[in-house]
Amino acid sequence: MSISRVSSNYLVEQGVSYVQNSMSMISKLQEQIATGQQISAPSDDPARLAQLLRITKEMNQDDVYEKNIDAGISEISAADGAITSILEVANRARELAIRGANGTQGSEQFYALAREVDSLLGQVVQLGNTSYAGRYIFSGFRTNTPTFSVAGSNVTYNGTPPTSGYQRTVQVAKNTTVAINVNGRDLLGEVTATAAGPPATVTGQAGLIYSLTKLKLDLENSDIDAVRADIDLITTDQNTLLKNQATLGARLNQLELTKNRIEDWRIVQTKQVSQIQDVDMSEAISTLNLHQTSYQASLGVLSRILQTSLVNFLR
Amino acid sequence: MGLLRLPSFFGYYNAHRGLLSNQMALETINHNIANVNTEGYSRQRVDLTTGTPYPPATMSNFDDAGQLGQGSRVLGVTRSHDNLLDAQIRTQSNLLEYQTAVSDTLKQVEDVIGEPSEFGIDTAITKFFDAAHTLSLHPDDMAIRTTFIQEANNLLTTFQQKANQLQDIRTSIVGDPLVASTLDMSQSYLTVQEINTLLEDIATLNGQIVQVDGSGAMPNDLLDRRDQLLEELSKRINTTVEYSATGQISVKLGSNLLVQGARLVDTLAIVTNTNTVGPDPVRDDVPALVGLTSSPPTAASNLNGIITGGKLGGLLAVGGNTAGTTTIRSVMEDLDSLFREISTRVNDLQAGFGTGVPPAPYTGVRDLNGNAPVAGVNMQIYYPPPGGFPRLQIFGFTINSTVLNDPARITAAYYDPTIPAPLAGTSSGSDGRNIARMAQLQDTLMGGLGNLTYQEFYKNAITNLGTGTQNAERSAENLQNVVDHLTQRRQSVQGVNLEEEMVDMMRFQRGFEASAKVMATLDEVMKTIINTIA
Repeated sequence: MSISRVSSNYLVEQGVSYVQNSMSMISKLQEQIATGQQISAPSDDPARLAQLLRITKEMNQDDVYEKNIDAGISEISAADGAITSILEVANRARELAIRGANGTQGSEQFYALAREVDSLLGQVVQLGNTSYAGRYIFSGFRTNTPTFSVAGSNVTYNGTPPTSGYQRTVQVAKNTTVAINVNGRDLLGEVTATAAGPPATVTGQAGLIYSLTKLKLDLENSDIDAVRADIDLITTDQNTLLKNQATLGARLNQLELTKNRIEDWRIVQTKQVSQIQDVDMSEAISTLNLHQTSYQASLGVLSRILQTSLVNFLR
Repeated sequence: MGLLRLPSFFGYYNAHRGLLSNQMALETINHNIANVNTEGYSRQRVDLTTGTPYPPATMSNFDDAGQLGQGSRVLGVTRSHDNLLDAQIRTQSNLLEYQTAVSDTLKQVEDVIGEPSEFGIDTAITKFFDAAHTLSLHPDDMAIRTTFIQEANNLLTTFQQKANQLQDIRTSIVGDPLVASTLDMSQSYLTVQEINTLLEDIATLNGQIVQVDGSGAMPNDLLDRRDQLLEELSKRINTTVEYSATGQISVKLGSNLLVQGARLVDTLAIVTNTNTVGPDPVRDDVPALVGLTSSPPTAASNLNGIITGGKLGGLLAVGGNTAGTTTIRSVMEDLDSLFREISTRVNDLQAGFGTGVPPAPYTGVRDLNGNAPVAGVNMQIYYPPPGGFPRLQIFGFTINSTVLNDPARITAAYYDPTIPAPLAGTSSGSDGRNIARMAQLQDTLMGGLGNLTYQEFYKNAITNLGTGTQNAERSAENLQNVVDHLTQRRQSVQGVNLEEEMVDMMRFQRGFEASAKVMATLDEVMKTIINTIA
């Protein structure tokens, strides 16, 4: 804009306003460099703030999901270990049953086998009562109650019945939950009543505990035919155990895959946040230098204008 | 050859007039220089013209050289001023002050909202749901229960703190109808007082200008002062100025006459709108009403609608409640809607009814001790304010202190009727399924919020605020550039340039010296004539 006539005040006002402009640019850069953030208020860039809020919310949620996944992985690993040990016991019991069905035993040998089966039963009950982080993991929701309790030859399951909701789940993604437990009664069965016989009868739910109880009683009765039938029971139980272990294995896989995905995605999101929010320090500092130089220049010009006047040249 | 008969001391008078003219010019330059830094001053110029030539045109004619000049005389002192520029500057300043008032206030609102930040509402919501997730994994852990209910409390206090701060901003602008005497300390009230003072002063000046004008002089300094007052007035409110044929002005607001000539016809009045106190959280009128002193404003009839510019217009707009614009009230309402949605769902889940009814086959919810929630004790996490509460609900919510003090009362578990005796009813220990549902609210689309999740709704509200503020700021910047440009042009017309004045000063000084020299020379001639005769 070319003005034909300039008043004395105008030169000064204009000079002052240029100085002010430089100062306000410097102030803005100062804030950005000190905080390291480009956006400090919604009006700085509303669209990018919206993006930022969305991404940080997702990252926070992913952190929570990861925590859940870790808890799930730990517990499933504990359950898996317990089932592996139970399978070893089941193998040993099967061997004993085969020996018992052999027919060449005397009553002392039957008695000895029965005693060993009894001790195996005790181990299975103990493994069924596995606890992790202060919880009985096979009790469904009743994790403060020992899963199995023994009274005489009865072994009662005290957890949440498998016919009711017993699965404890963790949320690992927006609409995805994963169950982390298996039901103790489904896994190992239950014994609610026994009759010594012969023939021995056991009431309850089929499972390794049921089978071992029956096996023990049959051995005590030296009932070879019953013992032979018990071998099949134990084989079925082993399949049940393997099936449950496979289910847990699949869930463990799912959790680990999800965790890997979360970790990979977190890297991407962190980069996105940085792009939106972080100040490029070198750029900001060099822009700051630029503005400082222009600030000093405008101060210099202003001071010269203020000092120059016609009065200086008259006489 | 004709003889022109000159009076003897003819030349003396001409020289004298020369001296006077130059002296007046110097005085005017003196005035200009003294006022170089005066706000609103228009530089003044002496208008010189030639004196009436001698002899005057008559019927008797002289066969002579013709008319002789009679020196110079001062026609008047005029100011360099452009009324059109003034009018343009008034219009643009009016718009500028409006946008400045709006953007300054909205920036304060942004400071209160404080996003992005760890202490804002978005983070508080996230932390609350995080605590719910943790609780759902460990519902039998009292420490985790305590953390959860404390995060619930923190969520409430964060919302309330923001709402209270926003209300404070609104009160400082347009007063609070529920608290007496806040209007008198508000910016709107002060602006109205300033406007009324300006109107009074303009009327007074009009009277003085008429008196001076009537005596034939140019009331330059009074005119400058009046122009300044008119500009100050237009910064505050969108009045219009009409010039009459006699140079008098009237000031009008819309069609309402405020000042006519020397007469102050009417002033502005501002009152609290008592129609705003009501329990309906959606409707809340503008807290302050502006009208004329002669017909005081009421909710039904006021001038708020025609005050669309200037600082007062901006304050009333951002402190008011116009739908579709970003106001303090609209931000508070967004927070209110959001919290009410959160609290309703959370309460429903805690009680196990409404939207919180457990899925089949579960028929209820239970706390840590296996008890169902009890009405009046722990059926709610947040108590809403009672009916008839005069404010937005957000101000009246409280946390259920029974649950706060006894976190075992949080109903994390389901009641399972399929579990047979003797374990009938309760699953204990790790049942956190009810709280897991609460955690999932974070990703649920809420019908009451337009099918958005909580945080998406909040994000939209904040983005709207940011955009509104940005628009006001940008408008203000643009208008500032326009005003600066117009001001510069005005300065070029009416501003004093010291160098120019210096040069003129020398010019008129030399003129004065020359006239004095002429006087001395004529005096010598006279002496010669007298001495020759005597």
